[in-house]
Amino acid sequence: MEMDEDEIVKVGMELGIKKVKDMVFVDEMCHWVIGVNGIGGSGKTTLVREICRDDEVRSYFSNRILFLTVSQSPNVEQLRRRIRGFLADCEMNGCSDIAPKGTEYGNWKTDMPVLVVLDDVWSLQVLQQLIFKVPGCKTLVVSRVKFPSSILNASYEMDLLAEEDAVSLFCHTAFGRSSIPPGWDEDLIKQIVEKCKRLPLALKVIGASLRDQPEKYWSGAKKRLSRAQPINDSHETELLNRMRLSIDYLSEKVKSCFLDLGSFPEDKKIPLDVLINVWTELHDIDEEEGYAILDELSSKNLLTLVKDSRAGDKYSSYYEISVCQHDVLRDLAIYMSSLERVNHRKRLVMARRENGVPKEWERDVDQPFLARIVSVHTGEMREMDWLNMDFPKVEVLILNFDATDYFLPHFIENMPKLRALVLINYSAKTAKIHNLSVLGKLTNLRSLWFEKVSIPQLPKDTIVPLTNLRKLSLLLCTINLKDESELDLSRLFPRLTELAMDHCIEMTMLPSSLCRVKTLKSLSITNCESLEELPCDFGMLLFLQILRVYACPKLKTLPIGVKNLIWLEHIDVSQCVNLHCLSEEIGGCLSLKEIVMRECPQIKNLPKAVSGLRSLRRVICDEEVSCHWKEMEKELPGLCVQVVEQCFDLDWLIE
Amino acid sequence: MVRFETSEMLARFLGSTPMLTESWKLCARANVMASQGFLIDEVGGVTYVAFSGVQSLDGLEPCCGNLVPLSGVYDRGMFPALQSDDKIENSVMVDAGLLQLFLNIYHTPVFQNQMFEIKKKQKPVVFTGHSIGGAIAALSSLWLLSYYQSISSPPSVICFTYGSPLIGNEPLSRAIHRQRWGGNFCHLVSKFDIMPRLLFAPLAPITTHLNTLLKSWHLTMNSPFFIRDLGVQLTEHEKAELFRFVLHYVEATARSLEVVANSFVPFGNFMFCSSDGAVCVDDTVAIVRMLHLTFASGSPSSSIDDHLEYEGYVEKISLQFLNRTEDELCESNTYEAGVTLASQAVSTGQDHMVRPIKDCLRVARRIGPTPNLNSAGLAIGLSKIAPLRAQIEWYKALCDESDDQLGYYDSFKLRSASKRDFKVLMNLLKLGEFWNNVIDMLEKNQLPHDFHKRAKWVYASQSYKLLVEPLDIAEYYRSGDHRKKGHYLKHGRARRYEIFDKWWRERDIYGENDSNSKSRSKYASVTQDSCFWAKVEEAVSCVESVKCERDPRVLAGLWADIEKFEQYARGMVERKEVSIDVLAKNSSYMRLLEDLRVIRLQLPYFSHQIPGVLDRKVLP
Repeated sequence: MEMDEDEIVKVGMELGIKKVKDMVFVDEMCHWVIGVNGIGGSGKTTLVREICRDDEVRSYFSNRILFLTVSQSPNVEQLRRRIRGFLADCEMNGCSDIAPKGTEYGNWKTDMPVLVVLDDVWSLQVLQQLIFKVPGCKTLVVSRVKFPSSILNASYEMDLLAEEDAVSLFCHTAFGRSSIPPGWDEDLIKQIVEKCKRLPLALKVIGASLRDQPEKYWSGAKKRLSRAQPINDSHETELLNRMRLSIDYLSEKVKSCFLDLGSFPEDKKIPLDVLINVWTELHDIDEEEGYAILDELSSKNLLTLVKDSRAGDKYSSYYEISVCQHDVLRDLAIYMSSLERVNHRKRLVMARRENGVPKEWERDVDQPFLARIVSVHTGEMREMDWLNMDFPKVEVLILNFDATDYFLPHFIENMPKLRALVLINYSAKTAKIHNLSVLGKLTNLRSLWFEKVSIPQLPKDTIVPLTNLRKLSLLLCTINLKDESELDLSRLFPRLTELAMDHCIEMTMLPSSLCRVKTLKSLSITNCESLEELPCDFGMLLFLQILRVYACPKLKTLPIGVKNLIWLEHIDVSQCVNLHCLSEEIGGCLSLKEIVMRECPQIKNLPKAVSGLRSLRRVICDEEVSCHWKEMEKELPGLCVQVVEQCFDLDWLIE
Repeated sequence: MVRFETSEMLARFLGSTPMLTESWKLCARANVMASQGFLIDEVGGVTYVAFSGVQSLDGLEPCCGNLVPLSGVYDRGMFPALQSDDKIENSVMVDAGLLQLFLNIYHTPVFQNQMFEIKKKQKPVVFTGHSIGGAIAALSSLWLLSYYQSISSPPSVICFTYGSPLIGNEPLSRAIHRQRWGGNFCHLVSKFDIMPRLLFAPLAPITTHLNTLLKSWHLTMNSPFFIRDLGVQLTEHEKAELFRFVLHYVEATARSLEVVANSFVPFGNFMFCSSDGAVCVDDTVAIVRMLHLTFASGSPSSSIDDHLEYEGYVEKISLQFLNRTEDELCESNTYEAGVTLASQAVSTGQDHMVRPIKDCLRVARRIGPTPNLNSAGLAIGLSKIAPLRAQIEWYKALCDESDDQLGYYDSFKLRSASKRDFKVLMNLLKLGEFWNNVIDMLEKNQLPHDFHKRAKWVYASQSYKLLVEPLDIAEYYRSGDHRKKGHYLKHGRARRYEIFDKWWRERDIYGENDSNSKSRSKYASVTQDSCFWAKVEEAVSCVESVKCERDPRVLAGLWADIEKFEQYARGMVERKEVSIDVLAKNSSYMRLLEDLRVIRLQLPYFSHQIPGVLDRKVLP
């Protein structure tokens, strides 16, 4: 089945073309700016070129269409001259009735609409100079960047191809036909197409590099692709270098933050909390700055925020939000980090899951590795599976695995500078962790992230205090607290400021020694289905500022002692479906600024004491209690009550 | 229409119809001259049946004041619509003595003949009666309403009582409410009359007083010219004793928030009348409070005399209607003015009474009008939680397609720490909470009486149950509750599911019968018996016991249970009434079958040890 050239180009683009055309045809005689944005290689320019060739569009603008490529280093003055000349021409040739040729375009006017296409725009500042505010002049801006809506009247974000379109585009470039030719290994082709992640450019480039090659070459290419290595030169220059343009345009700090993203496994959501943590430890930035960088990367289509509705909120918990990245971009990050020799790389990253430490790393194992960030992705690891490696400079260690047993490598001891340790298990079952005592040597460790592991009970004398640990996050973990009385968390974590326990399925109560960790500022016990109560000494956590206990369905009351928490600013009890009331003691929390209590059907009334909460600014609640809170608005000036509509999705189905 | 109908306006409206006066006329005549205990008359196409208030109470004393269930034992299934198969504490009960009086009349040939005629003619009927006759009228109405229930467009049955004692308990009141019969009953109660309040108190300590009182009342009622003070009278002291005794219990009832088990509760509309007007109230709580407030303002002698004053009240109410001027009617169009008028109407000359009565009427209104609003609110709530159920459906579909071939029951039961499964658990809890709340509101009469018969709710609850209950069962067995409390079906099943079962059984199955006979061509989307998995679990534990049990008698019992289950499950599967998750390769059910197959292979060995077990299976 042969397709003619036009059709191939347009594969999977019909809908996008139609949408953009609708935006172009808006009957608006003032100036009108439309943006088309998307990740590099997603077919933006192709789409816009198709639009310019479209018969309807050409007749609508009577062929008065100017197509300009702006690029990263444009000669703005020259471009302006060309646009000005184009507009002047239109005015003369068109049926304009206003004669005087002013120097100010403000006086210009075209009766017939004209279209200016600005392709490959990179900065807002350049764009602003190229938009001519002339009535009747429509500007179509093509960019990898999402420009703010103050500039754009309408915008269209490129979609990736549908799966069948991806196969047909690939087959066209690789075989010159729209489907997999008979006799070819269908699985192999599908796996290669899968690696391109529905990105048109990747499909075209990779398809073209494999054209007319023997099948053996294909399987070799597949392997290289899965290690984020280029197949051949054309792949490297055409795809990676073109994608790389986006990166080169970033500032040095943002660029290195982007490259850090390659440390996370492919196709997995990256918890925002982990990402920000890694960035703050590696680049000496604070959380706010980290968030700004995240925003920049997202606006340049270099990553996607999942569940972004709540991100950026001052009190929102980052661990419920995650980011994901297109695989081609991840490959690019790994490719760019892997240009140097293994021992000299700043980022030592395993591009995909392997059974053990990569061969490549073994070669110079006797010499120290100078990496600052190390990421390992394996299956089960036993003691002898690890190499003895030396990492004098490592600050961040990310251990991803997929197993039910995991032995922490001894080389962690040789990481004197380690500041953040991330341990994530991706298998369906909780994994047992061995050799946990290795952490005792890490005096600089500031943050720990454990996901889906069971933490064994440690013999009492082997527990060495983690003197510098500030942040401890335990997700989907099983924690053995049998001999709780022996455990003194305040001795173990003398400087802990943030503790998060999420989806800890078996935990029925917290160890009471937690209340002696007086440095604690933020405590999140969330999505814990068995949690029945908070410890009764809760009032000892005098410096607590943030308390989240949402989605703990067995929790019936807030603990005694809440009234002592005079610095508490934020409390979230959402989805505690059995919580009967906000305690009367809440009146003691004089600094309380925000209360979130969505989906608490048992709470029908408010404690009288809330009328004394002078600092309260925001309450998020259900409709049922909102009337009580609205009454409070009279007594508490500055209070704003929000009833949040729930939104439902199915993202949670895919784990 | 404004909800004024509960108050003074309805009272006035009733006064304007001839029914009130006509029925009282016949009541008065029945008191004097009903040889069979009742009289029948027809006025303007309406049949009036009046029961005499003068009834022989001989031999009934031990029964009066005691409640008996309307379960069919005493009444031979005459009130099918009121019977419920709920637990004992919820059963509908009426006063044993009053029921006996009704049955005595009911079984007379005269009454049977008359009722046969009435049923044949299908004309409107008014049952009425003064004093005890009122109670009999009420029971007759309930009987006829029950009888007419199966008829598509039954003629109307109205009941007017005058100073009638209460007849039944709270479940009776609720059942009448649910059948939407409350509007068929209008109980006239004069301000001070002791009779309607009498059964709030236990009768045993005051039997002698009561006997004297009733005899004296009967003499007066029976005398053609209504001559007072005939026969032996109570002394002033005895009157005061009686009054204080009854008042004490009326007050206690009005004060307590909970309904005490085995106590009498009013139902229908109560029209409180005084010489200046009348007020209608239909909310149970408000009725009890009004019964108390008005009674408390009376005196011992007025409490006894007022029982004989209905003639005057009926006359006043109908006259009042004629005398009302236009502007007064306009004035009462606002709610506040209406409450004021209404409270004045019953509390003439006692200004201190106006305020509490006003409050009471206001409460009655506030509680009164909400059922439809509540129901609308719940409909919105249902649409809000619908996505939670849809998400569980997606979860089920995902598990059905998953490679581990567990099906959603076992996936959820075997879950470990997982965000997805936790989300499902939260949905489960939120849905359960919603439905519990629905049932709670229904039982507190905050919803329309026929709420549980509305298709929307019957089907919504059924589809909720079929999809979600398996997960509740899974959670029960996952958490090990069955080891602590016993098996789910007997000890763990949430009450809401049993109620939904009942709704489903009692639904209007008009036009649906044929679908039952239609056989399925493919497996159901959800298993049609929501307790299927609970039965599987019980069978699994039977099989476990079989493995280690040695006592032949116990073993035989276990095998009988297992075989019963197998037969049931096979039937479900053959009729394709199970969803595919039941037949997933690694589901509990399939593993159970495999287990059983293996055990049966070894059975000769077992039975060798235990001769006599399962002869038919083992012996060649």
